[in-house]
Amino acid sequence: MQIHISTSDGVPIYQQIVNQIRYLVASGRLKAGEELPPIRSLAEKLVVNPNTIARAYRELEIAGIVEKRRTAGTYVSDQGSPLARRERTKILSDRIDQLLAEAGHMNVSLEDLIKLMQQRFRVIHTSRQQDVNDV
Amino acid sequence: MPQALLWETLRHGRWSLPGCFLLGNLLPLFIYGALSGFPFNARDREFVVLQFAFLPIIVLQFAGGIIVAQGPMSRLYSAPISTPSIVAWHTLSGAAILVAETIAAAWLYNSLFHVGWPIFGPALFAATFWSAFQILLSGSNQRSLLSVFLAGLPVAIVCLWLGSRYGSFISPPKYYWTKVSIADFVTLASLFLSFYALTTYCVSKARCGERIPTLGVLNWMSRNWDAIALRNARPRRFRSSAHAQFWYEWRMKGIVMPILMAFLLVLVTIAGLVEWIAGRFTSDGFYEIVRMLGALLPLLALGGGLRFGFDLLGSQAGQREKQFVDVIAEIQIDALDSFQSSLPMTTFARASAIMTTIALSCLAALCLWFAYYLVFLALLWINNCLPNSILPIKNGSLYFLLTIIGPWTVAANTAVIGLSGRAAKILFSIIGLLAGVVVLLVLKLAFLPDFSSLYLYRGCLWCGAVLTVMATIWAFERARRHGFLTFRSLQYAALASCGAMVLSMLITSVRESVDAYPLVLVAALLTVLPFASIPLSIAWNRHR
Amino acid sequence: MLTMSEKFLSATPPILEIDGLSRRFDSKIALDNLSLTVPRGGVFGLIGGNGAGKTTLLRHILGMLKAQSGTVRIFGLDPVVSPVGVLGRIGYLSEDRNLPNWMRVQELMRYTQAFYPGWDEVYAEELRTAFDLDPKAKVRNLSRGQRARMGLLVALAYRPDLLVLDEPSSGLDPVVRRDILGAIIRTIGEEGHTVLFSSHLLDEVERVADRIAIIHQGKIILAASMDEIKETHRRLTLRFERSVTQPPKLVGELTHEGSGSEWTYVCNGESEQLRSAASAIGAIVVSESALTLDEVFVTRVSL
Repeated sequence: MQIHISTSDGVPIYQQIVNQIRYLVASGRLKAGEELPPIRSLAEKLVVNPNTIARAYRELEIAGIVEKRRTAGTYVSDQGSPLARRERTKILSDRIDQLLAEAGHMNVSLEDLIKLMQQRFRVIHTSRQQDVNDV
Repeated sequence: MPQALLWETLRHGRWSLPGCFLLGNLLPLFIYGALSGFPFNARDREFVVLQFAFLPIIVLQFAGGIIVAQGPMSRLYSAPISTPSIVAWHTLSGAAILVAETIAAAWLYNSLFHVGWPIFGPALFAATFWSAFQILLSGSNQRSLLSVFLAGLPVAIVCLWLGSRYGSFISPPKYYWTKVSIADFVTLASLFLSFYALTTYCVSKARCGERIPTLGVLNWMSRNWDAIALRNARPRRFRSSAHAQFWYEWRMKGIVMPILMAFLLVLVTIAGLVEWIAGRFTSDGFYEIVRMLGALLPLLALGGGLRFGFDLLGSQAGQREKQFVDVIAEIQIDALDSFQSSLPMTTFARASAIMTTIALSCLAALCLWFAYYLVFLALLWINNCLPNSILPIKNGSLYFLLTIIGPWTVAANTAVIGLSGRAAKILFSIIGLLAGVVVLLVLKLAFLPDFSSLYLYRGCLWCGAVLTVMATIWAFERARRHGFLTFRSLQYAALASCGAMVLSMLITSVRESVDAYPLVLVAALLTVLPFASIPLSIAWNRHR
Repeated sequence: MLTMSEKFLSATPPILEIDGLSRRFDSKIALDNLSLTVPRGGVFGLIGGNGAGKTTLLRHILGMLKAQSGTVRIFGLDPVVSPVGVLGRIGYLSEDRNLPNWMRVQELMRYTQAFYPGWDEVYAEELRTAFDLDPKAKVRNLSRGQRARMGLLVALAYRPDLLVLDEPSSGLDPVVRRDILGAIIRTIGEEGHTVLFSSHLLDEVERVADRIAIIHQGKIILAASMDEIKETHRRLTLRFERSVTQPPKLVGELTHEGSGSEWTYVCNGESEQLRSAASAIGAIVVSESALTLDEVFVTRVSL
């Protein structure tokens, strides 16, 4: 499980861990039922206070993304589609909010924004097709 | 450039040069002043010995001042000056200053006390000594004590050679060295040049940051020593923290005295062998030297005792290839180092470990010397040439007492100075006191030449004795209050002090002069004082 | 919502209590009426610039310096009066990694062991192999990083209640730094053990510390938990309707900079409070972010 902590942008460390684990779960890189590393070993690996890891795990537990089992371990919860979908929606919503805010500052209207998105989608889609054809 | 260096030395040394000049002259002035009350003949044997003993001591002290004034050669390493030039200018300018100071000192003694010091000989000695001393500074590194001894050999050679001018190599001096022959001059000059060459070699190695390649013998010796030490390295645990601390103090500081004594014995043996080969060996002369070594024990103890306070071989990180002279500049004479401070040890435990180490250290050095002495005596007895007087009649019993108790007294009390962590301040105070007495003496000589300086000295001695008594009482009281001594120990100490006073009274009744009484009293008290002053000193240092 | 460790923290008496400590060296004031409480458990970071008084403070804790005024209590004891009781439970790594140069690794371990009844030989061996230290090597031949590890070994092996580290990462390469921090983190896994370390490498402190105290010119200018500091120091970029040369004062601001109609404020206060204060002076919040510990330190110190 690849987690990267950065101290340079001011976001609290536990928050960074929570966000990254959420992302990994939502994008499918962490499967349901997979065990998260124990608090102590993750603390050593990331060189971070174990309390911070513990707090991150707690937040994830409250959000329902992970669950603690009695045999002392934290596992990605057996989520049905609703939870996964909700996670994905939340992540994308955050991104879209950022995009809309920026567009607002630059005085770009919503229609122009949507047109731009469709344009970019076509470009990426065709280049991806080309990659596939090349291979 | 050489003018610049000389100017820099003089400017930088505007305090240290005169300071060390005064310092070096203190002891001779003090002693000559003490003796000036009595009529003496400068040609007497004892005075020759005095002059011979003083000369290296004052030269060493002057040299210390010059070293401080010049600064280390390493500061010039990055300048575009060739190594031989650096060494040449340091050696020549230093030697010039040293020679000037020596001549000035000799002139001073002669004019004040008429002791008849020769001028030319000591001057040459000073110059050669300086160049030999450079080797000690640049050639030793603080990785091994052995390198210090090796690098100190040239100095030892020069001193031994000086001894030969006063008589043979290894017998006590007999006559003054007044006539400087051509051969002497040539010998000294060639020694000077060869030492210069050696120094250049060492400095060039140091400048490149390379280690000085010692002879294969040395490497072999140190490797074997390491291997032996490794085999005997303790895999077992220490029985208690007291054992552990004793081991620490012994390994770090306690072995210095026995090693120094062993080194001296080796030197003396070699000198004796050289004399034998040269056919000038006399069993009487050699015997006297061996016996005198025993008297040197307290002097050894001076160095050994100071060692207990000074963290010479350092526990700081990164001191690997530094030259000795750089290390001297960084001697930690301040607070107890932070590793030792963080160990959970009471002051009493630390003091006990240190006192035990000092005592055993003195004992070890004494035993080494005594064994050597007995062996030599046995050899003489086998060959039926025992000397007429095994012990000098006058001082016989006192002599052995001094040899056994003296080193402990000296070592323990100098350790107190070092352990206090304020050694510089204390030493300066003591020196200031001595200087004060000398100043009084000089004033007296200038303004009241008829007034016997005997009274001055008597007064000082009695003052000193009274102060010592008060200091001892105060120290024991404080130590008792801090819990460093149990009441039982206090009783023992009181008993010992009374015993010391009675003993000193008995001894002095044998001697004519009543002046010895305060001296003996002070010596006796100083033997007991460390039991209180060492823990006090440590406590003073530990929590600043 | 209290975390596990915070619940634990409030139940036990603090491990270190300093009250009104002052210290001067000749004419220089090193510590100025300083008060500090370090709770039991967790990692406490002491941060400050060079010469701020960190090492002097740590020396008082070890009893190397006597308090000229004020009190110092560790485990409720005065380190000057009862050094054995205090030092027996403290593990110390000094800034200059002071260790007896002439000893071998093994000898140093045996020597230190004699002083601490709680020395765990098995654990010490584990640490030695983990730190890759040759038992027969002499301390003076160890590299800087190995020296730091050695110092840490002899401080950790008896599982001290309080581990005091003076600039543990100074002068070390990143690999060794990771090792040292890793060892610290492993230590605080033990229940009730506390780590107190001073550092000026703030990104490390940010990662590892639970609580922070900033020391500046001999005084503590801020002492709080990491979370509190993060929550109460924010940077807001505000936009005003009109250009101003001197922006209006925002409640809780520490510094401001900017030009024209857009100004950035660094503030002490919670996000909600600051936003309402911003609207009170008629500005729009363009962006808001948290500050790194580095920025908090620089701002607070230069006030």
